[in-house]
Amino acid sequence: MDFPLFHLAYFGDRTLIAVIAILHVLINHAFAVGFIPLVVVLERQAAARGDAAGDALAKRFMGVAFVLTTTIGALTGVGIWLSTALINPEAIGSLLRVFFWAWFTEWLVFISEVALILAYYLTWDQWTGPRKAAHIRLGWTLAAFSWITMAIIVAILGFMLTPGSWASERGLFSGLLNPTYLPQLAFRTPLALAMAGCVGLALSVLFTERDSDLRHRTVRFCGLWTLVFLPFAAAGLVWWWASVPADLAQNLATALATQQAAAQSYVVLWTLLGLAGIVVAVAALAVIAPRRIGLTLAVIALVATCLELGWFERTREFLRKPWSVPGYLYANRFRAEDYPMLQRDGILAHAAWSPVRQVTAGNRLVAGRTVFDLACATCHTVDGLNGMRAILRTMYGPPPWDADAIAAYIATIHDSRFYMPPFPGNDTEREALGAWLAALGSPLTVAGKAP
Amino acid sequence: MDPSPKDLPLPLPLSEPALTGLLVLFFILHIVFVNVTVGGGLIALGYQFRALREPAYDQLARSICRIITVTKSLAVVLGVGPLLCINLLYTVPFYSANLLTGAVWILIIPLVTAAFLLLYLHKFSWDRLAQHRGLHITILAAAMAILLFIPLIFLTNINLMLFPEKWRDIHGFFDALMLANVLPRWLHFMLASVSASGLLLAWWTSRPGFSIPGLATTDLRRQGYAIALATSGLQFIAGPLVLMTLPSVGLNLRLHLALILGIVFALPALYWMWREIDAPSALPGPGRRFWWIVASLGLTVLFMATARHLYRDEALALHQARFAIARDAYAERSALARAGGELPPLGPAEPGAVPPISQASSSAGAIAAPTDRGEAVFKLKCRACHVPSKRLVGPPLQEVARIYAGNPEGIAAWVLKPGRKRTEYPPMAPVKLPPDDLKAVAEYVLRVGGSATAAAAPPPVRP
Ligand code: HEC
Ligand code: HEC
Repeated sequence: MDFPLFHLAYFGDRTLIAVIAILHVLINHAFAVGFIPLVVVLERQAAARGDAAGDALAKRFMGVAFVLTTTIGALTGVGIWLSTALINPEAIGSLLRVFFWAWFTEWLVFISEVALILAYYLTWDQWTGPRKAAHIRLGWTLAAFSWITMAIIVAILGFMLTPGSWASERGLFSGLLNPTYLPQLAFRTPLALAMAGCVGLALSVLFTERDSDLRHRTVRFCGLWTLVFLPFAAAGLVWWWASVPADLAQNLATALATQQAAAQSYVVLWTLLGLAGIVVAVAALAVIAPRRIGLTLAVIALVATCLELGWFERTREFLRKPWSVPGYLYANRFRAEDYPMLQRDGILAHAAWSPVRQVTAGNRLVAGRTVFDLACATCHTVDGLNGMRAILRTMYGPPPWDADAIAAYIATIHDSRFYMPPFPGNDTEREALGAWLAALGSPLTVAGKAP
Repeated sequence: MDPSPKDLPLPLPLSEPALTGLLVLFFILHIVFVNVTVGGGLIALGYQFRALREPAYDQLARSICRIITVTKSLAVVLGVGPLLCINLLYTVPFYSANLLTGAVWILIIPLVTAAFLLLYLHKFSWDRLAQHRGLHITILAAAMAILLFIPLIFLTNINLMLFPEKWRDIHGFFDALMLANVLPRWLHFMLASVSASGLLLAWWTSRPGFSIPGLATTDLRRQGYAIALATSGLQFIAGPLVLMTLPSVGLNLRLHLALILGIVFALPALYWMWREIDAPSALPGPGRRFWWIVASLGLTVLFMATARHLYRDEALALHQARFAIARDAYAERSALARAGGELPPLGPAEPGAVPPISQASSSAGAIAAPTDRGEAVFKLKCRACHVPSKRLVGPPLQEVARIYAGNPEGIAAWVLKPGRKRTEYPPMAPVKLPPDDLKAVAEYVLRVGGSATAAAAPPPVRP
């Protein structure tokens, strides 16, 4: 309402955040949080054996992590922030005010993490012989710092799902110590470690000679590593799910799939279980018969873990709908406490960037479009992802569509579709929105497309 | 009048002066690393070209690229701090500028990622591409081209946020880029980058143990100073250009004072640099004037960054006050509405404003005013999706009545736990109702659906 419109007409606003965020999480978990401990253990084993080839392999592992985390990893991290500021400035702006000190600490840890990554990788060939032990300690410090960066951010993610007592207290710590925080951390930590095992499998195959001793040893180690941590991840997930409050949990079916396919969401669930099964199978094979592991199997296991994590993120993000900050700010960027006023005044009257202030007989469609931009566009597009034309066609069949019926539905939609916020504006605006949506099906109103 | 944008209603986590101090401090830290990365990259590129004729310079370029590997990553992480502060202090102006240039603003992420990947490619392919110098230089040039563009995006935003009165005329990044001040600021920044990197070069090449076969370190040190001196000298053109193109809204005495102090501290640095070139000290190390130069330029940077902030403060002061007033008025009105109070009118009604159309005037078989419980429940819970003789979100009641003739319990069971029948419809969500209401609404559905069928009215078509 207070900011100019930024809208991705095809991909949809949420997609921008989702792509950047999921990329970030995959790199962060698989190549930093989980992977660095694995590299350090490999380095230590090689040092203990006096195995130069093993040490070189550990260094090449770290090289991959170094390149990925300091480029895509670091920048998507900043990107999450920039993109949420474009899509929902009210949400990120509010979160920054509440969690300033958390973010500030996070920043200090983040600086240390980057400095440590640079130091750990770039000193690998210098800190040798008597300094090897110090280098390994440097690795452990780095591992600790990467974990702490994740631990802080997960607190904020947890808050966005379940703010706990923040709504009444509005303090930093009441926000940080929210009910789903520890369970989520207990899930992510072992999952990141297990994912790193799969990365290790793929890299071992890439970087070592077929049938070499080194390959078998490393493949077996990475398989074992994955097998050890996967059950903990499963337990963490169960704990997390148990801590999600029931009113959010009812979004699960839609969160896993789409609304149209919500009834089939068990298919998704079984697929995810199947994927976990594949990872276990590949990891077990790596332990039992390391020579059987080729690049294909390793990559399949890695992709499977990525899909699992990606789907978890999507589901978690969806569960908190219709909220951005539960109880405080809806995903449509309106604060719940302002609803009583907005539903009387209307949203146009308070919108700084709206071309119209009030719905008049002459501006109905423009007003309708503006209401859509303000109240629906964070989650919907017109013709792209979650696009209104397609939605209306599913609901009402081919056009013409009935403006009044649409307007009537919008008034109560949040009762049956829990993931959508209640309509924030007043009745005239709702009717203008209905008229504009109905006009999307009419060849006569080109205004449907513009402005 | 258009309503003003409003600041967020949550309190700042720190006092404004404290945040401002942190902003200036963190910004300097960040920008120094950016300067060294961009300037160092350009200098390395220059030396790689020179190496085509004088191969010894190849090693020097390589050595500089080693610095950039580190500084570029630190530049990014250190950027988070000032971003954090500016988000808090200038919530409305900063986000507004971001959104107005949104598509290009978000390109920062993929572009910087690409530039960094190119830098790694360049670094790690040094030996492998030894026979393909042209290609190798091109990789660095591509990375640098991106890194020259990125500051332009930042500057465009930082500049645009200062002038809320211009926001409405800006349609996208290129409009904002064309505002008078952006390009001079970019030039100013680039010169500062090369100049800082020249100093770094003088220090880097004169460290104990540094040597490159075929190059005399004293000569390299001199080159570093020459680069720094030339670019700092050019600032005496770029600086006034920035000042002249600045809209006058933010200019005031304090700002000029800060600028003058900045210039005053730069002058001795220039002199010392010239002395180092002219009469390099015979001692090992970067020269005995080096740290004096760094200190005086450090003060220059501090005063320039302060001036930059003073301008921002002045240019935005009234607007920030307006955003805060709008925020408070909005919060007050919202509280009044929550308490159920009478809201004063917001403004004159516009000619032709439409009053809300009541829901009862809807088409498709209008239902008379509720007389029984079933009808009341239906209107509240089902009417949005079902009407007697027409498809809305759900099927018409006619169809329902046909399926469930004489079976209201079936409807009740469906409502509590709807199945999935018609794939061309969306799924129906369960509606939680007490048993009495369920029974009443089911009977109502059968009654209305049945009579609609009996009447066999053709479904009304809306124009
Ligand atoms: C928090 C995000 C969000 C907001 C804001 C939002 N919607 Fe939705 N809406 C959704 C999702 C998610 C779906 C389900 C898409 C799917 O999976 O099929 C949906 C579905 C719909 C449907 C189809 C419902 C059905 O019964 O099939 C309509 C109609 C709709 N939205 C209209 C609107 C309108 C109008 C607005 C603005 C007033 C709006 N939405 C705002 C997220 C949102
Ligand atoms: C959000 C929109 C919506 C609301 C609200 C709604 N329905 Fe439905 N209803 C549907 C849709 C869509 C279908 C078709 C579902 C299908 O066939 O898969 C449907 C189907 C039905 C059916 C047909 C079942 C069958 O076996 O064919 C009945 C009966 C029904 N609804 C009753 C009700 C009653 C009673 C209410 C109010 C308590 C209600 N509905 C509220 C959307 C809705």
